[in-house]
Amino acid sequence: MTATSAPSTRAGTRSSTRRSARTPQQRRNFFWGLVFTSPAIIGLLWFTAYPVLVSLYYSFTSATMMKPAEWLGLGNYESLGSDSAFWNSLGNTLYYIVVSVPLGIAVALFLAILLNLNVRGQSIYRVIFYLPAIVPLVASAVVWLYVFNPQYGVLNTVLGWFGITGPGWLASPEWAMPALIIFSTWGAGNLMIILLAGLQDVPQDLHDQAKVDGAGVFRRFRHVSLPFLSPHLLFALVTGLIAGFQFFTPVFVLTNGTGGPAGKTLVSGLYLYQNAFQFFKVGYASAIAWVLFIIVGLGTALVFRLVGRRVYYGGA
Amino acid sequence: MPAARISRRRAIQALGGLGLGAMGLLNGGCTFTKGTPPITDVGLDKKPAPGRKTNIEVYSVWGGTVGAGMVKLAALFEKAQPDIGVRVVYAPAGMGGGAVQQKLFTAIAGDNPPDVGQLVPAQAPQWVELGIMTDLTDRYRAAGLGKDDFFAPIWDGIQYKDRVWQMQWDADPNFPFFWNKQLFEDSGLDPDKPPRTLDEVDEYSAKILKKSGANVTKIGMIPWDSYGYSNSLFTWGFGFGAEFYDQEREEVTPDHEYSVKALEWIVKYARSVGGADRVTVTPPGLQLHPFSTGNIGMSPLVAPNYRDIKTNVKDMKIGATLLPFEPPGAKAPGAGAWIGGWGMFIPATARHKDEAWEFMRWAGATDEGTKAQWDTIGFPPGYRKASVLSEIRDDPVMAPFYDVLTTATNIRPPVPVADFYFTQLDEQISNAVLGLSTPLQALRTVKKNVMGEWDRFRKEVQA
Repeated sequence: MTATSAPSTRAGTRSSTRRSARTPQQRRNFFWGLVFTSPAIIGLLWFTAYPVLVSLYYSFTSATMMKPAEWLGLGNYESLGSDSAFWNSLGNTLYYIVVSVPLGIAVALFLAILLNLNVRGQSIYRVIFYLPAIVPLVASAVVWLYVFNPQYGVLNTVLGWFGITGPGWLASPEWAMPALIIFSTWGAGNLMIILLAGLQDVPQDLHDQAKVDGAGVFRRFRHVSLPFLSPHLLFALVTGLIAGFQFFTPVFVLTNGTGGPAGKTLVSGLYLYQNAFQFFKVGYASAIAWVLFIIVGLGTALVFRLVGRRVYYGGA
Repeated sequence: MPAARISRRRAIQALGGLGLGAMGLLNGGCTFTKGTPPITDVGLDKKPAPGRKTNIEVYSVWGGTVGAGMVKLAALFEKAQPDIGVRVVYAPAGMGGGAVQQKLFTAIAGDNPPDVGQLVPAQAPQWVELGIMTDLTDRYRAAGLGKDDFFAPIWDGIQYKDRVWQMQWDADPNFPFFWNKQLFEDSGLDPDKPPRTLDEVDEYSAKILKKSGANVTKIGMIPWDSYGYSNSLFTWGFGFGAEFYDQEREEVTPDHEYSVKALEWIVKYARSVGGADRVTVTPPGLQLHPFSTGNIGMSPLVAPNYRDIKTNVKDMKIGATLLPFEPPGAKAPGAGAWIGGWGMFIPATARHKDEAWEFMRWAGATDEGTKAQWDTIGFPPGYRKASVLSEIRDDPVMAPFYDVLTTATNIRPPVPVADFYFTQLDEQISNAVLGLSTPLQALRTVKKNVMGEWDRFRKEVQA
């Protein structure tokens, strides 16, 4: 037996063993398993995989939805390079992400810590803090139109109590994006639940030991709770980054789809939408979608590279 | 320990209380007022009447009472003839002015179009070039309908390249000019003397202006917000004598001399009150136009807004007249008025074009249909010979709109990249009003971008 023939023989043996190991019942189960999951598989292929691939194809064409598309090669991508509105939208999106993601995590973490305290009526507080996360986005955005109302809105009323004249919020080029960020932070309930679950997974005996060693509240949080929370925080960071690039509904509702004032809230998702459904530039919009996809991919990889190594998986 | 527990509890209770308090303020501090449409048991969709030879599908872009009105209109059409049933499908139009109709576009792209769709007339050139619309010229001719049957701006707007493409059943007269007599009186102005020129608007505005700190609490007018930035420039631009496109040269002209002057006036006005973002005269609710607050001296209004204010703020004394103008470009009050509204069209791939045309013609260009439309939806018709026009003329709320309908000469520029043009105007005018560019720079940028887009589109449709 030569050295080269040995692996193939082993592989052949493994393969025949696997085949023979599968009983007729298992094969039937496998078949019926496929049959029963086929609606989901077909749905996934038809409604997700196919549109994704078609959008990739469209990104190289002049597709309008209404007429046969013409092949443009990299034309759409080249046009994006010199499209100031696209770069403006990308800048606005990054501004939104850089502020809203850390802020959202900080608020969610703060609320999770509070809800982890041993107080009476805890479940009621959890419901109160979680409620905003389950209100439909459009409905809550409409409510926030009232909140941001410069004359009658809650926000400026409260600021007025402290002698501060609130801005015009959604009418102000400086304050429109912060307004959207405040709105997004209001819905931090989902993340709060995840972080709360993480906090409750921290072994109590570690806290007790640290306490015996003389660690105070902040040291215990920093050296015991935080390491256990790091996978959750990484998750929050990555999903926040992805969601930030998909940010659309609130800005659509709060600015009536304009991205105003002065284009200061024109985020990439809205610009993509305008091109696809308002200007009939489906090919161009597809190119925007793929550029965003690549940026999100690179951003996620960067996050994993920079932060991933510091994440503590409980000794795993 | 107990002390620590109390403090934690207090902390969390305080935060929870803050949350509840905020919810309370949301509900109590903001008045969901007035102007709430009457509850109706008519939905926004409708099945066709049973037993008809042919059923057509009509897309309706409206919610609320207008959407319910479209359903009632379709039912009246079914009563008026025995053969055609009408299915009404609610297919909302998104974004300001209803520019985006995803459901319609995807239905057409998926080869499952309705038989009748709706559009803003200025969208037609682009939709025609994309092959979305059916040419109705021969049907108009066969029905004996021509130029004399419609108000002049309507006839201009429904044509493109000398063919007719739509039936404009809603002629939206934009705008009469309204003033708040009480606020005039309170500001030392004659409550029965509205401004005739924009110079007089400035003069009156200076007397009406009131501020609280940096915020404006009473203002003469908000010229950059006459229903969005682009509509504002159209209105006041026409009021200065501007033109927004050159049909012969196939060119948009946002940088027309009088258009620039109009924007300069708007920007100057914004600066004179301390900045557009400092105006805080918005109403507590979303249903009523800000003019209803009594903090705005003068405003152009669309009919539904005026009707709502008259219904809900009964003690408000409002005067109505034609839009102020600015010589020498414009010659008389009302020069800034233009006709907006909605048209119906037949998608090129629709299955029942003959029946679709019957419905459109009935709703938009017959005595019976325009009367039914007025009774159910309540928009003025574009059909000049409609007998219901005398009813509109004599209606106390609609009379100012009748005056505009019968005298306005302008329409928004029907160019093949109209939506792009309007979006560019919105963005660039916003820049100028907020002091981020000069009016001339802003309007030149619009021209450059729109002509670039028009060239690209021209190449695309010729390919």
